[in-house]
Amino acid sequence: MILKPQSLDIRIILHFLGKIVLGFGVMMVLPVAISLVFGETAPVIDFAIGLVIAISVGIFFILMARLDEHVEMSWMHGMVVVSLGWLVCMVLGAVPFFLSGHWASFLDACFESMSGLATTGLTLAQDLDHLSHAANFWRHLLMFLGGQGIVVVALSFLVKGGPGAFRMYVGEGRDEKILPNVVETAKFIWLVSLVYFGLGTLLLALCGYFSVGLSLREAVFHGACIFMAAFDTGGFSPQSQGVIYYQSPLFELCTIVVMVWGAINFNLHYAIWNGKRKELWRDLETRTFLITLSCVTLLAAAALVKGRVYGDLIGLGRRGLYQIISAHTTTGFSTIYPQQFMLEWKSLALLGIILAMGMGASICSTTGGIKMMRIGLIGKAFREDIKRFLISDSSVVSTKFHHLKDLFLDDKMVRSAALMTIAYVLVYLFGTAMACFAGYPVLESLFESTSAAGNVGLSCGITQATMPAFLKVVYIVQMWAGRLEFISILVLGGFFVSCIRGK
Amino acid sequence: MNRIRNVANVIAGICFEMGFALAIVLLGLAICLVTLFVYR
Repeated sequence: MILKPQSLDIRIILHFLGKIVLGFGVMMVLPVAISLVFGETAPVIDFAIGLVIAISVGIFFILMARLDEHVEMSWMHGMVVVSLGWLVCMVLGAVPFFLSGHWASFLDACFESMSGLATTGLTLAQDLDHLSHAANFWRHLLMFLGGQGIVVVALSFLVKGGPGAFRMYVGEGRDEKILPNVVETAKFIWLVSLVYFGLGTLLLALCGYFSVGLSLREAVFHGACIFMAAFDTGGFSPQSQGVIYYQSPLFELCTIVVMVWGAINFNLHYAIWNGKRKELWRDLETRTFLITLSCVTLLAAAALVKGRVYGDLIGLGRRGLYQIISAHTTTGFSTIYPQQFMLEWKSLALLGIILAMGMGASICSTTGGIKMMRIGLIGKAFREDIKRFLISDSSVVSTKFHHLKDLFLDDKMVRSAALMTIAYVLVYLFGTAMACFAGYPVLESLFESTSAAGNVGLSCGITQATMPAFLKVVYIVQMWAGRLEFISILVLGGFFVSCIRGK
Repeated sequence: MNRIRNVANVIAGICFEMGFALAIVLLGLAICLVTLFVYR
C-alpha cells in the first residue's frame, strides 16, 4: 500500500529546499560584482531582480515549513529535495538570462541554466559574443556550482551534518564519502575546487595574456570562465567559437590539464594530496580510463587518418585527440565547428567519440556519463565469468580490484553497475528516438542525445534556438537525469504518485 | 612542521596530477603517431 505524504513530510522538504534555494540565490551577488568591475549597468538590474526573486522564494519556503532544524530526514525527503531543488534552481537561474534578452524564450533560458548546472555545455544563447560579462560569468558559475553540486554548496554553508545531510548528498549522484562526516566531505570538495580555481585561473590567464594576446583584465576573466567550464567538465565558453577563439596550442594544452583534473575522483585527489600518489595508478577507475581512452583514440585516429581528414600529427592531435579527451572527460570543449563533425568526420570516428561521451570518467568527480568505475566492474565481471568456464568446477573464483582500498567483486556491485549502465543507455536511446521523431538523422540524433544525457556538451549542430520546443524539454530532462543519476528523479516521480494515489 | 609537510604534499600532489594529464596527452599523441605510420 502506498502511503500519502503527511504534512510533516511536505514541511521537511520545503525547509531544506528553501535552504538550497537561499544558498543558490546568494551566489547571484558574484555576477553583480563582475558587472560593477566591468562597468556594466543593465546586468546589475537583471541580477538584482534574480537575486530578490531567489531569496524571496527561499525565505518563503523556509517560513512555510516552520520547522525545527533537528528534525530527522528520510531517504525519500533527501531525494525529493535534491531533484526538486535542481528544477527550482534551474528556473531561478534562468531569470537573469531571460532578462538579458540574449535568449529567445524563457524555455531557452531554462535550457541554458540546466545545461550549466548539469555541466553539459550545450547552449542556446544568441549573439553570445556581445553578452555582458556578468551574464557570461553566471553561465560559468552555474557550472562551478552544479559540478560540485548545489547540495554540496548548501551542506558546506547552510545545513548541519547528520544522516539527512548524507541522504541529500547521495541524491545528487555521489555515493562515496571522502571523510567520515558528510559536511567535512562537502567542505573538502570546495577546498579542492577553490585551490584548483586559483591555480587554473592563473595558468589560463597567463596563457591568455602572453600566448593569445588578451588584455590583463580580459585574460583573468577568460581564465576564470574557462577554468570553471573545464574543471567542472562543463564546456561553456565566453565566446561563440569556443576554444577555437584563442587559436593557441598552449592554451588548448592547459585546458586539457584542467579537464583531466576535473575528471579525477575527489577521493583520489584526497589520497594524492595526502602523499598516496600510487593510488592513482592502482585505482580501477584510472586503469579503465586509460584503456578506454586508448581504444577510442585508436578508433577515431584510424578513421580520421584513413579517411584523409587529418594527415599530420599536429592536425590529428589538435583536432582529433582534443575532441576525444574533451568527450571522454565529458567536458565538451571543441577545437572544430559543430558542423565539421558531420561534414568531415567519418562514421567510425563519430562512433569513437559517441562511445567516449557515453562512458564518461570518474564517479565522485564533476563528470557525467556511465562512469569508469561501472565500466571497470562490468569488465571485471566478464573476466571472472570467462575464468569460471576455463577452470575446474570445484575451484572458487574471486576477483580483487583496487579502489581506494582492495575490494572483492561481488554480485551486488555488478548488478548495481549493470543497472546504471542500462539506465544510461536507455536514456541515450530515448533522446535519439525523440530527435529522430523531430526529423533529424539517426547518427546526429545519437550524437546529440549522448552529449546531453552524458553531460558532455559537444554538438553536431542540432542544438539551436530553432530546434523544436519539445526536443529542448527532452534534452533538459536528459541533462537533469544524467547529472543526478536517475534514482532521485525516480523517487520524485514516486513521491508525486503517492501524493495522488496514496492512502 | 606538520603543516609544512601537509602543504608540501598538496603541492607535490598537484604537480603529480598535472604530470598525469600531460602523460595522457603523450599517450594519445603516441597512438596518433602509430596510426599515422600504419595508415599512410
